[in-house]
Amino acid sequence: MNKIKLTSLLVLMSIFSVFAQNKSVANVLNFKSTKDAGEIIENNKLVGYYIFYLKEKVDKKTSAYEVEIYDDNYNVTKNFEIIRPKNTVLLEMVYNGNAFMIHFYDSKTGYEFATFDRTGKATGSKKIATDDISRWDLARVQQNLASSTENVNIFPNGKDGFVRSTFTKNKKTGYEVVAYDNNAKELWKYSSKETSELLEFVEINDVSANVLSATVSKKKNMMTRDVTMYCLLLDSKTGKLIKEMQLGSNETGLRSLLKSFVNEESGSIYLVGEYYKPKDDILKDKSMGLYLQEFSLSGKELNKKEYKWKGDIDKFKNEMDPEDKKGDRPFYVFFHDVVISKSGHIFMIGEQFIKQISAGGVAMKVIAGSNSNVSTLEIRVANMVVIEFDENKSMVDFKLVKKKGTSVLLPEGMGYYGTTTLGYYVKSQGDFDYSFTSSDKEKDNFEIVYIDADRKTEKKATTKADVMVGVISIKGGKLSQTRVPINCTSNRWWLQPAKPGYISVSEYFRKEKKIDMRLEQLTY
Amino acid sequence: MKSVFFFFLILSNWSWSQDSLASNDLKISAIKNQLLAEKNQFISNPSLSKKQNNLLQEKHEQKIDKELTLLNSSLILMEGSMFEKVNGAFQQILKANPSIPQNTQLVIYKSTVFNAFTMGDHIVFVHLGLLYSLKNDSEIALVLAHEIAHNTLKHVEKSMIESVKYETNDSIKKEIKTILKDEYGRSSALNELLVPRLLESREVSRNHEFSADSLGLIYIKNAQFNIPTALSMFEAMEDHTHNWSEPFDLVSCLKLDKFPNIAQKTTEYAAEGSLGSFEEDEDAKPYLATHPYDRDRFVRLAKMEKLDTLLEHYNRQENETRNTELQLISKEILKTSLQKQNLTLTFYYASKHIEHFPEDDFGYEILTTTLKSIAFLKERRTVGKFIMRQNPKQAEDLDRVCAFIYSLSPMDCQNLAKEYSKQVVNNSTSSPYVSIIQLFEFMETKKFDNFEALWLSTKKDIQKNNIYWILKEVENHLYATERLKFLNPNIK
Repeated sequence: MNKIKLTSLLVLMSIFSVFAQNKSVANVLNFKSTKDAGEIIENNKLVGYYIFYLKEKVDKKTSAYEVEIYDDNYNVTKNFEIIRPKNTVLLEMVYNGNAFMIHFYDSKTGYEFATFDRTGKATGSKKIATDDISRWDLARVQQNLASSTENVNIFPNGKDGFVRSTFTKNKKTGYEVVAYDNNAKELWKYSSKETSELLEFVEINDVSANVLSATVSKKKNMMTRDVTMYCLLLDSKTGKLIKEMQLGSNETGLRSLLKSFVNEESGSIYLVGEYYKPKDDILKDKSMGLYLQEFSLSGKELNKKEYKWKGDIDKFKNEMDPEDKKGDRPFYVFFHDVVISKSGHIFMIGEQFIKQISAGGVAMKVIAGSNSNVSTLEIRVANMVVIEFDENKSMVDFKLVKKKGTSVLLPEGMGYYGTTTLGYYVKSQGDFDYSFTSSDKEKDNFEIVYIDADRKTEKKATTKADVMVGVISIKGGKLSQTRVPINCTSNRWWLQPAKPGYISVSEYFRKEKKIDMRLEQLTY
Repeated sequence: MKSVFFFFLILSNWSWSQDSLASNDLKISAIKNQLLAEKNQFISNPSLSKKQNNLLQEKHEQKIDKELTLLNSSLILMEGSMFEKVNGAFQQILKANPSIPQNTQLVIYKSTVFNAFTMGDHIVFVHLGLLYSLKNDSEIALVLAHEIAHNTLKHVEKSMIESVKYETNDSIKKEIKTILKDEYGRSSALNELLVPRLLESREVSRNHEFSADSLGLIYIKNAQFNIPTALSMFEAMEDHTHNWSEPFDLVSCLKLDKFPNIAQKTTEYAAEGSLGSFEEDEDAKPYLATHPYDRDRFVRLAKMEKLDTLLEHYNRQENETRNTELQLISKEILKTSLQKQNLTLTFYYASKHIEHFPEDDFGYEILTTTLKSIAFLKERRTVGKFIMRQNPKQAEDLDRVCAFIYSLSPMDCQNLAKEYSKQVVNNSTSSPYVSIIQLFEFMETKKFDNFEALWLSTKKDIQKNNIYWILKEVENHLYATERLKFLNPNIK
């Protein structure tokens, strides 16, 4: 089967002008996966694309690069030249409605956060020398460059600035949240304590007009599985701490934080995640269930609800279609995203997976003996799961969205890890079928897109589409699901996120040396 | 039974189209022979060296090869009443100006682009898109005379000689080699070396346009065309340059009020993407343009004739027979858009055709074929290959159609097709477009015996009319899904 890579693919320089009018990109001799092309995101919504490429070497140390910006229909909107150290890579580009912030990295000179206004005029630059960057941050960059994962560390802070998360070089590694204005001038900084004896990491979840919410995890050392998670609330205008809330403890049971949302209108913050038995290990043990917690903007707890896998969630499973129930083995669920609709309904989007004996792995062991570097265990990835909570935070639905299961062979040694850790491993390898969530908060439309290995079309079970894309739509708080056949002419094709409601389909024609790109509607 | 009736109609239609195609082919063949003769009659330029003349000959041959490629495409029109009408104005200019080589020929190029061109030989290519926008003989005559003037003034030849001189300039070659040897600053150095030349050639090109305008004006004066009426052509050019278009009410034109849900979709148009529009570098524009600004050209000509220099004071007059001509041009444009696999343009021009000629079934025929095709391709998620994406740089009425087509569901398309096909059913003649509609209907109702009968009898006609690409999509789908043996793509 043709493996779909949801990655940004760079085509050679000769094609850059072609996105505008033509659907076809000519003279493509080859293409490779790189970070030089990507999506421009504004408030979780895809608003455009960028390409960053070398124009010429200026001197021994610097090169001239061209940044080209496309709108959400692949029309060239703006291009401008920038001079930067040679070997510069573009890690991330974010738009806040007024300005762009571009994160550059050069292994010798370090980071640069450059801002540009809508005319392409450089408005500011903040540089951080390599020596001042934490090795954790550098490791994250390397991993990001080597993989097909997107780099998401910068967020718009209203229309007048940006905020990013990073690591510090404290006694032990800590974290830092830094805000900039549209001229890349640092406005405020919030850091973990320099004297902290713990390793502390941060991940920004949501930034609203007044509040920034983030997940903080702390542990004593890298080897320990003893992780405590916190929800960090900062004043997004000043960077002052509103509250850091510990999410459970070893004694009361730990909690993971999948996502937090700030709702300025209702003046509340929602936390969504899984909770564990006292003394259980987040990275090893299966959670007890899910929780939803509501806080005021000042961090005061307003509401907390827990939903046990056995007892609460099972109830819904009992109502499931007998056909669906058949396939409902005791799977773990890896949560990819959480969507909150305008109606206040919360949808947790997950995917079933389980560690099991691999027939293929065993066979390879038998054939290759000790030479095989494949484990006898595999991860079986199964159905999509959507759990819905109403505005009163009562669980109202547990939906299994059936898709064909796929197996991920584990490398030797990986089998010893806990299932949850393996879930993160599968995610890092891009082996879950979940692809992306296309969001349009304003229109209250969300589309969760995944790949279904079952390519048979519904109309005629024997007919196969070239690829089957599953779409879970949440429109105005109403959930629906559909499978969308995508047909291609070429054997080499790939899918990419597009503007809300669409998917971008690209095909490479080797003989003609061209790439055809098109936008197809996900649902009608 | 119905398919037998279709077959008979197509056969009778076929013999007529064979004659007309033969006449077109003969005329094209004559021009091709003329070009081949010119290809072999290269005359060296005494002011150039042998090496330069060799390069000039190479360019001369390449240019003629390009023209031959154009003539070999299925997009050339040299017969029919529409051609005769334009050719009438063309011949009038030739006769009134004996200095123009009288073997100069007119060719209509079936493209929706607003353009006319000459490649320096005695052939003037005029695009259908230009004829669609011009309203009277004088406007058309000004364009034709302008292109003939380019030939008379040998602009293409002069540009080629300049290009040869530049390409054989050893000092420039040496400089380029030196730049390419250097690892650093290549692009900037090449720009520094070549941009002045580019700007210079653009200026020469703009001057060529001005001089072709002036001579063209003399030609049409000699041919007794109305000059103020001819100058109003610049209004059409300005409209095109600035993408100005008259408001186009899709709802009333396509009677969408019968389909409120679909009509609603026409209102959901946003001109810009989420990133909005960006400022353009207006300062560089005049220097990089190959053509002068339309208004400057108009003012120069108006001053030459001591006429009012305010374009707004010129009323564009329509030929008395404009409606008949427009209908013919519009029909050709519809065929061409569909042939070029652009369903957005086909839909756009079909809607306009229906707006102007509601009594003409041809607009409905094409619109139904287009909607059926869009519905089928949308189901398969391959429609993106055949429809245009929105682009704020295109005319707003077309951009609105782009957005509208994207917003339609396959069911919307089927419902609209059903409505418009009522007009097609009443049609007393058959055509490859009607055959495509019928084939879609047989496929949808799974009447594969009927499909096969009609497929056998009409496939060749569909191929001849260059719309086989639609049928091929259907064939591939049916072969893959229904395993219909007669559609096996491996059987030639």
